[in-house]
Amino acid sequence: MSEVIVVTSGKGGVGKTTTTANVGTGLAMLNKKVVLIDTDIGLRNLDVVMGLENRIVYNLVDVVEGNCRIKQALIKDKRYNNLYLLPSAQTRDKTSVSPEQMQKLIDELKEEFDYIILDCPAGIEQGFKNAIAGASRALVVTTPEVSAIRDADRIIGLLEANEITKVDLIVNRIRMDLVKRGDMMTIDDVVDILAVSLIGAVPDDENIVISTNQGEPIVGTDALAGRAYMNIVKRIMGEDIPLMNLDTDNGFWNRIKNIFKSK
Amino acid sequence: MKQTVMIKGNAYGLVVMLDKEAPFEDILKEVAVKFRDSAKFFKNAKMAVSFEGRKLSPEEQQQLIETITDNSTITVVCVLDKDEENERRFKKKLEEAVTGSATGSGQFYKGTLRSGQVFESESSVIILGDVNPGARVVAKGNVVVLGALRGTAFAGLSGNEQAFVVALEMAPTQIRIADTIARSADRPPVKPDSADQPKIAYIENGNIYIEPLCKEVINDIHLI
Amino acid sequence: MSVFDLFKKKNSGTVAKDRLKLLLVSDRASCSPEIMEAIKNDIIKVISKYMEIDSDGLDIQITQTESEENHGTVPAIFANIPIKTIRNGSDARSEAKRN
Repeated sequence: MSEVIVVTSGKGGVGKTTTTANVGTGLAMLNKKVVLIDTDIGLRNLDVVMGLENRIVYNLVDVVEGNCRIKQALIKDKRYNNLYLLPSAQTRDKTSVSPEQMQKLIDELKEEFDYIILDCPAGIEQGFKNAIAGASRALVVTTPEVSAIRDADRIIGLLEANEITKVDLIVNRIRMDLVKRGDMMTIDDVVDILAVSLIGAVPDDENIVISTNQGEPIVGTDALAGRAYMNIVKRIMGEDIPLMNLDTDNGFWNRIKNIFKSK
Repeated sequence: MKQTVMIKGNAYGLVVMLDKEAPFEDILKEVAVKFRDSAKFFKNAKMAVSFEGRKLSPEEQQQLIETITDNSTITVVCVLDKDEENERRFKKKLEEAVTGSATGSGQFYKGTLRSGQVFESESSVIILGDVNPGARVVAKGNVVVLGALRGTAFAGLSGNEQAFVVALEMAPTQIRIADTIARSADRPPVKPDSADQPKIAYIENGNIYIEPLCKEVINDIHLI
Repeated sequence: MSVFDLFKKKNSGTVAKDRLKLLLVSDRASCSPEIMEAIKNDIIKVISKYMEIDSDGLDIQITQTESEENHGTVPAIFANIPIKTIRNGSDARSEAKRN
């Protein structure tokens, strides 16, 4: 039984693509057959984050328009041969694909794959409608900032209106130092405001920048963010994993600083 | 009197319908007459020709083609059998013949090609500027980038394996020549010493090779 | 006391949370600024029949209030309408009226 998950946020730049890459790779590491679809037509990103940009020959629009078969457009991942990417077209615009066409494409992919993960563009226009067309489940990514949370709220409303009832929240880029000081909303604050179930929180980790530079997802590594993503992956698969402690303050100087801070 | 020869046109050339029973000598004469009469109409066209209606031996076919070229100024590029597979192959051949000469001529573009931009040409292309990642240059002929090639270059679009790609800084995401695709290494080594040296990409034995653009290599270039 | 003073002592994280709570209530009620403006104008029109009000000082917001029925909160319209004079010597009290 395959599951179709859309990764969405409303606001841009909160980490949809990074989340898609890491969740997809994580599922593949746990031996699931996974395809990632970049639905951001005109501005493709997922291929670069996955480090597969130099293998693209055909894209989503080519498949939908019948210029090639699905198999020809699917790019096999560098490291996991049960992980595939369907890249988006860069030289076209969102109207090149309709929600009906997406639905049909996903129905075909369902026969092959355990998980189909759709990287949704920012915004609530055509691209969003295309991305959610075939999805049965959504991961809403937000950061603990007013603008991102407001947009996430709008997106959750739209997902519910489109009968996607299984909506889980990922709070991204948490900075525990700011949270402790009271200058960042806590995970609980965000969950409280948005009133949806939390599937995981990911710390603001410089290792994500490094891994993205290298075109390799961070999931599976020992970095804090890598572990956070793996926990999310396991929860997606239905495992009951407790939320991890995102506190990074274990260095000597940090401990000293904390002693002074708490006074 | 029953016509022994009829000429019809299709998308890529001429179909010559031949009578099944008439003696071959008569048919040759009739073909000569028909083509002489319509020589002005066809002028110096390059065409594909196919013969239908009767089985022809290679010698007979050769005789027919000679008759056509002797009696008109048509250049027969090739002869097709009447089946779709061949028609397609034929179309490709014809396109190559038509555009082959175009690789010698070129189109200039000045400026940076940015992500998502595509520059296409029926001939060769000379870019005065950079081709950024995500941008594409597509040409039926050769691609020359007087700048950095970091995006995708596609030379010899219609199948010309003699086409090449030249760049002052060769760091492409992907290079395609005719039907062969080469992609960049997944982990680029620390910038090699030769990074700022002009390079050429070409096909040999079905593989794409990239080499510094030196005199010997230039001497080996064939413009067709 | 201005709204700013009210929040001055709070951490910015708490400020963000409070701002969002208010914002999302009106977002979810899909009350556009145009609709709010229309509501405001209608309120001015109705009340002006009976008393002279300071239409510049009028403040109207969608906020949340405790619900008696199901422990939770429900959206509510909050209006602060300063009254200048009461016409016809009516016995209404001449202070800000909460609606």
